[in-house]
Amino acid sequence: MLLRIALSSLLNRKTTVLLTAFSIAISVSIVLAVEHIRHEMKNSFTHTLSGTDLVVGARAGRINLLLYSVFRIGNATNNISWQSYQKIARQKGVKWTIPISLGDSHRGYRVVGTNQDYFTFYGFGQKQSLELSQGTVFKEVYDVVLGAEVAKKLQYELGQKIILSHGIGSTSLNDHDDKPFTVVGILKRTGTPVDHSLHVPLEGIEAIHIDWRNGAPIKGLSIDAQTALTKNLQPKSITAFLLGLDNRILTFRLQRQINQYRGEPLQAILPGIALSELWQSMNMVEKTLAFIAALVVSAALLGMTTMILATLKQRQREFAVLRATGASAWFIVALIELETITIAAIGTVVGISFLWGSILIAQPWISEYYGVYLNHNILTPNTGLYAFAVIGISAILAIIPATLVYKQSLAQGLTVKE
Amino acid sequence: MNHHNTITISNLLYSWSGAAGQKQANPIVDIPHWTIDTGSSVFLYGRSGSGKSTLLNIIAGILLPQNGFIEIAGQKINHLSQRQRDRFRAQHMGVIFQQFNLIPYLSVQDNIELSAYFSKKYQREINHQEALLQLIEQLDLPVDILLKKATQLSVGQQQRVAVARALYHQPQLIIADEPSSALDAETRDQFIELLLTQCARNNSTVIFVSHDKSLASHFDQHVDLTQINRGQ
Repeated sequence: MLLRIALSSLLNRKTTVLLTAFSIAISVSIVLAVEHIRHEMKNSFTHTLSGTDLVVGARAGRINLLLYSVFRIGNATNNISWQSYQKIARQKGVKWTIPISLGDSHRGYRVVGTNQDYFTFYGFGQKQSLELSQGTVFKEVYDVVLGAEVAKKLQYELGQKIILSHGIGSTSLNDHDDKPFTVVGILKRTGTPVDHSLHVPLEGIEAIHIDWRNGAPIKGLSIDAQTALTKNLQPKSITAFLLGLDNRILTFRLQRQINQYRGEPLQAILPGIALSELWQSMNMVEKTLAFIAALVVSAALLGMTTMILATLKQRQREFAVLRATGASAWFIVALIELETITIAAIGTVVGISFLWGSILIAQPWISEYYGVYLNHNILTPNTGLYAFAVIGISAILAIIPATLVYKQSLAQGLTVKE
Repeated sequence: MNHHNTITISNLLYSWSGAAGQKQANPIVDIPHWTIDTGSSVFLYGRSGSGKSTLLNIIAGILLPQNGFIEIAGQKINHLSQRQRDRFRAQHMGVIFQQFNLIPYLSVQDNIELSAYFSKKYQREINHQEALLQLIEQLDLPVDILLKKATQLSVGQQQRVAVARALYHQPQLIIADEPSSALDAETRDQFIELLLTQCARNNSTVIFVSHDKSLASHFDQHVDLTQINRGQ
């Protein structure tokens, strides 16, 4: 009977109740969206690189090394000599290494000098490997494999000749225009910085700089593309390298060895730890978003409480009739609570469904434009916790009108003050 | 305990803003002694401000007197707890107001069944539907009224539905607070006769409060509140 009275009472005030529930629905979907996107972003972020046990570079900041080697943001302060690289790569227990040589660009996109191991061992997401959508990996010195985004934005096709520029930035004055590269492959989209990169062999990087010294062409010396091929193209240094081990137990030992390497100042970082450190540094944005979302929910819940308080006056007769018929003051308190919880529950369920639907619809679009795959499964235990909290807080807030009604029905009883 | 009396009031004292048990300077209700026989119909004449509402709230068990006792159907209700008084009211009393007796968003049937629900009579009576139909018929109400909303009824119909609810769980005492004042002269007498007939059939005691002395002739007992109440 209590339930029937509560539901009939709510039905009787359809418009107000629906609007209130709708405001709660919006606030719930905002909170959950923030939470969900944060979770997915973190997931996507921390999965930028996987399967790599150590990232090795010249000694600088840990975050800095991660930024330039994995995210291709910023610059290395120093390089690693080829000898040091070879020495570490040949250590017992090292399964694979991927050399990375940075410093050139093509129309604002970074060029990565590497070798074919890149396409075999580079991992991202849940231990996924790179795949080609078209063509093959590079074989010749002047071959280039494009990241998905590069190919799409610049509308490049296989066989196209492109010119690399020295340095980074889209308006470089120093073009390596004497040694054009041929597009031989385009990678599938990964949702990682790989999409924004162009990949060439280390020898290619060496070849385009063969007539350069200290970052500028040597005056009077010009070696054409064909002649360059006859020279020794083994690089003297690389920017960084990624490393995978046979057995991950060895990670810390090797890290210590590299950090104490006597030949030159090197550092090795665990990408997982560095990635979460970097994520931590973005904590502020995350917290601000969560805070704003919490404010939106508070506003919606306070709105609902106000709505219920506002109706109390016109419901005095109703409560007097219930009291006269034998309802205890607690029954009326329960009625108010039940009505509030019902509105909050409707709002929460609608909010969750709304968000679920929105993500489902927006998913292909987000994936295409941002390279982030948003999982539409928002029904995690966390969501349950949020839903429970919203309904719980509503029930607590409803104590305010309920207390008023309780006092009022004890004092006034059968009579109604006009 | 006197079973001939539905209500016995003794040294009843009530004044606003005072804790129970304290002597108060200006009591609103101060009734040294008053009894009502079981099954009788009492016309209680009270002007506004005569302490009428307070007395009704005390009888209904909503307000507690500071002194004295009120015994209904053998039970001193001011000795009961808040919860017990609510339960007692649900089981032993039916209340009819001047108007707006019905919950607007509930159907007539739900409105009537409220009393049965609170008195826990629902669970015991299996064929309550039949009793309900019978009651509706006796009150000259059409059967299809049960599914209507209270707001779709005329005032006269609403008051008769209120009678149905007050009587449905067969209480010993009916408290009617000016139930006919919203009705026009023709339907008024008819309504009072209907009410009294039903109460008599049920052997329920009726306290009918009104400021309209012309209605007194319908009742067994006539009481002027100012004569029994020394308060004010």
